[in-house]
Amino acid sequence: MLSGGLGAPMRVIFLMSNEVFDNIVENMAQFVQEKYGGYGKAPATISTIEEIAYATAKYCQDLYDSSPLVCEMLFGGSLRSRVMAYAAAITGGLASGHPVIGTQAAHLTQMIRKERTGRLGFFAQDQFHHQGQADEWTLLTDQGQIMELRNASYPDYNVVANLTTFPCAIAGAHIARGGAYACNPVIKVAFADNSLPFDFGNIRKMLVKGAFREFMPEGERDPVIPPH
Amino acid sequence: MQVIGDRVNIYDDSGKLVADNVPVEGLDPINNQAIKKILYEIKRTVIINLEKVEKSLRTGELGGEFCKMPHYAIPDIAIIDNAERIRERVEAFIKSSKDDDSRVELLNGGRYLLIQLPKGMIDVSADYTVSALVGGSATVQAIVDVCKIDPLKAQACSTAIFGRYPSTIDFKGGAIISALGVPLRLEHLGYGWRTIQSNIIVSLANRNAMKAAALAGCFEMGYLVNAGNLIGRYRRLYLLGFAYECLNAENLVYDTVRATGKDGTTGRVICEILDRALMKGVIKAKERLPSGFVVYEPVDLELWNAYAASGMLAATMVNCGAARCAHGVSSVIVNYNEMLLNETALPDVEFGRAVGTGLLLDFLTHALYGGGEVGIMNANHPNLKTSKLFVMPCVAAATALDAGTLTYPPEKTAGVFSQVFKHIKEFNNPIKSVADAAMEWEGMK
Repeated sequence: MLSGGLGAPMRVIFLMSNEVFDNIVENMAQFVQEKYGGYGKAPATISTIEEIAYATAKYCQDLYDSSPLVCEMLFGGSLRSRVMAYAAAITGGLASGHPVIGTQAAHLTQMIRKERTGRLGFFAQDQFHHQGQADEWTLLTDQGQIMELRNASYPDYNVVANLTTFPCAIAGAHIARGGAYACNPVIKVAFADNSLPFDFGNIRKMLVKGAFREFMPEGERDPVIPPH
Repeated sequence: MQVIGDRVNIYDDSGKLVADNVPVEGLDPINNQAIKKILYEIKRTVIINLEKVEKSLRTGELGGEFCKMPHYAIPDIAIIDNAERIRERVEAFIKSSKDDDSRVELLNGGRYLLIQLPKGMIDVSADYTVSALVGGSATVQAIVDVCKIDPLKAQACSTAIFGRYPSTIDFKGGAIISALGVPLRLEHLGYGWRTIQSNIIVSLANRNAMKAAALAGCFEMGYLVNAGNLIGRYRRLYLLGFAYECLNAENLVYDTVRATGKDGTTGRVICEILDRALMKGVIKAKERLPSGFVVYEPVDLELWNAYAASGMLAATMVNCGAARCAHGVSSVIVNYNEMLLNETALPDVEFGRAVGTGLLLDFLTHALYGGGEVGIMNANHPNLKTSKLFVMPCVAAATALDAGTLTYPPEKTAGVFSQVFKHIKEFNNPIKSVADAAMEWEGMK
């Protein structure tokens, strides 16, 4: 499951980081509550982006500096940088209710981290953040799509490890707005079915079950999976 | 349409003034006959590798690697020996009238067949695959006719030329050579002109770095028009960028390379650009911090971006020229922009897109991913597509300055293109031709 030195671990950072990532996000959510008086109440401005980016970067970097164990668990600067970016994306979304504020905060955390610790060994990971400012405030035909409808084929975001920044920001903004669904009610309803073998309400648990070979799909795949 | 009032003086690749007071509006491909001519010639051209067709048919190796079907082989087929007859037959198929502008010629002693379609065919085409399809089809039928191919083996001729198409989306394993990639491989809509490889651009420019940059810019401008990105708020940004970086406006690129070419560095190039920008009032000092660091800000953002892009090309030429090696272009792009940003607080080229592109270019060509090479890159690549105009000229210029360090040099992958357009002035001297055409456009208004 974790083959590869960098690409695959990035995809499962939420599984690998145990509660480190959760704790960071919880802390930043509290920051949002205290700073702005609740979710979705921060103005969608550059100042908000800066405040969230600096707060997230400071919290994460202080954590890494003060806890060798965390650094050991999140082995490699790339993983630590990702945790920081994803946390900032969620926080920005939570604060303002707009995913662009989240992704912009994520980009800025990476510039802050770069000033402090230098560029990541995996150079291309930085591409996304360097270009992010230009790419997300644009009306160019090949780049001006709203966040919620972007996918892995979207320019710049196909680079390893960056794709997850979107859903983080979108989810944060969605929670802040308090809507019933983030984008498409049909998808929301379809995957909210409790009888599905894959519990979309607890994705992390399902993926870990898969890693342990304990997850058994049902339905059309029955003929090709072991008896269950 | 919105009118951009800027005017520039354009200098050629030897630093000579070729046109003064040129309206940048005239550099828009829809106004510029020279760019139109360049794009038209590329669009209507296809080359068939007759030598490869002959080899495929003689051995039965059809459709690319690992495919060998001896039952289709025609061991005694003589395509090269009959090249002139095949050419005549193809010409008869393609000519729409006696004096149309079609062109069918043999190159390299009959090893290649050049086919340029007449304007009428291009006019009715929905996309640019018409050249490959009409040229390929004409050649298939000409070979079948001239070499009197058995009907049971005629389809082998088609496969020898078109490869696995139409089972594949491109001509995999075929003998079609086209500057443009196939539409189904476009990263996004309107990206047709971005499919031209750096090696092909360098061959078209006969290995002249500044001409290669100019041609790369023409193709990128063609893309900007197609994609709807050369209008409104982006129009002045890209028109000025094209004029300064690709067409050596105000001799900025040439002067900078001359001043720093002998013993300069990327940092010295930045200093030269800053001096010029300050002198011309393009930027100004905003404040001096207690540390002594001076924060600059652009007075004219789009013009500053054009200056910065010119410096990026100059830095590429200084570094890659000194090393006679294209490989460093990604590092130059990254370091130039980062240094510029950190030392001045000014926006870097295309506001982060160039440095981001440089980072991934480094990764794809020389870091752990590897696999790509500067010469075979094109602007339709997932990496280079993210910079809309400014990086591809640098990649092309770096490729032109390489003295043999590339695994896939222009001569190996695209050498034939150096012959095809050598008599056309727009390809021989794109900077002067485009500048002259802009002046003519103004005269016709």
